[in-house]
Amino acid sequence: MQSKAIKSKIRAVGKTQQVAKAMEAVSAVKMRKAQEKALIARPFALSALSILTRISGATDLREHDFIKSREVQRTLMIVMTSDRGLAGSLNSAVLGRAVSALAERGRTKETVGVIALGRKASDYFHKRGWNMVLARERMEDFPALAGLETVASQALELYKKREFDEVLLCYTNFLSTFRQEAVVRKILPLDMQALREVVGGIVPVKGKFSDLYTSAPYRESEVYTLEPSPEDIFENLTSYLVSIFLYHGALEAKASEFSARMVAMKNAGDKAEDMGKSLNRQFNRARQAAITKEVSEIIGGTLIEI
Amino acid sequence: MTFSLTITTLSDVLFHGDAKSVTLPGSAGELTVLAKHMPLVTPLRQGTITVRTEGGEENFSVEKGILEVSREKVTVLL
Repeated sequence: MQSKAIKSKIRAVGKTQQVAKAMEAVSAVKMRKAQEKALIARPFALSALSILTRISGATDLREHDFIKSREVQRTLMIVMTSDRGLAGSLNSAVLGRAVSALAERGRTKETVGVIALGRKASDYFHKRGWNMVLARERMEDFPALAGLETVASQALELYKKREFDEVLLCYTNFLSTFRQEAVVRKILPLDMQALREVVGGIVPVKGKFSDLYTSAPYRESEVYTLEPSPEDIFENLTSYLVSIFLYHGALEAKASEFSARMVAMKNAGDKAEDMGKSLNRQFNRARQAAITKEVSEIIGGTLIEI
Repeated sequence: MTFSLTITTLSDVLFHGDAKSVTLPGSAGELTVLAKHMPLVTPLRQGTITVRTEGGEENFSVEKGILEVSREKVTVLL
């Protein structure tokens, strides 16, 4: 290869490396912040959950619409992905998991409604002709509860109207910087176990406010006064909890996105560095070859003159 | 006589410690919780929460929320 061509290639690879490095650093910071936010929200979610557990034990709400499971004919699937790529296999894992979960349940496109949060999800389901209930792009880096409350209330409304008999959420669970896992959780009918898993899902418990995590055990004998009525409080709490559920899912998805991107960019940066090295070697060799050639030409020329 | 009180929002823990009494805008009217209050769950409406501790008084404004009084502790979710 021409030494000039090699040189421009070296420059291009160097630039790529720089970009990858910058993106890696940015993702690392954002990842930490997303984790922190999730941790802060945990005492709140756990308290809400324990109140719900206690009142649903204290009063008979087994027949309530939100708890009683009915025969499932139509499913509402909420899928959370990122807006942008360059995050390894993160999004394809979530989308694949969502589709396979629906297939496992024997749902077809006609019996499924999709709420897509994140551009990748909305593109994917839109292109393949799924029934879109709601699609939202440009999710904030650090999701606010307010934005997800509207999604939650819409899902609750549709469930109440019996347009769907089950609401699922598919997102990426953040296990560690190097491990993320696409999961599907049931939101409605309410499943305390699943709720607990979502809320407890983020990072080990330690440090400030950690005593809040140990919720008091529910005692059968404890009688609560519920004002105004158990049903009112239950519905109030449920809509709260469903939005918190989504909020946590979004935070986990974001933490996963950033860490996946961080790892992807780290790999890209390392690769670029290797490539830069080998290109440099190639360039030196080419330069040396040119010098040798020139020298031998000069020597050859002088020989003829003599 | 004090009791353990926690006031928390999704983004922050506003109060976590011992309180002598707390006054809140319950949906059925203003109420004050002292130690050994009977177990109670009620939604809150807009207003102000006043917490009295050994050290003095603290105020928090509230848009909506839920109050839970159990035997061990009092929790306010905003």
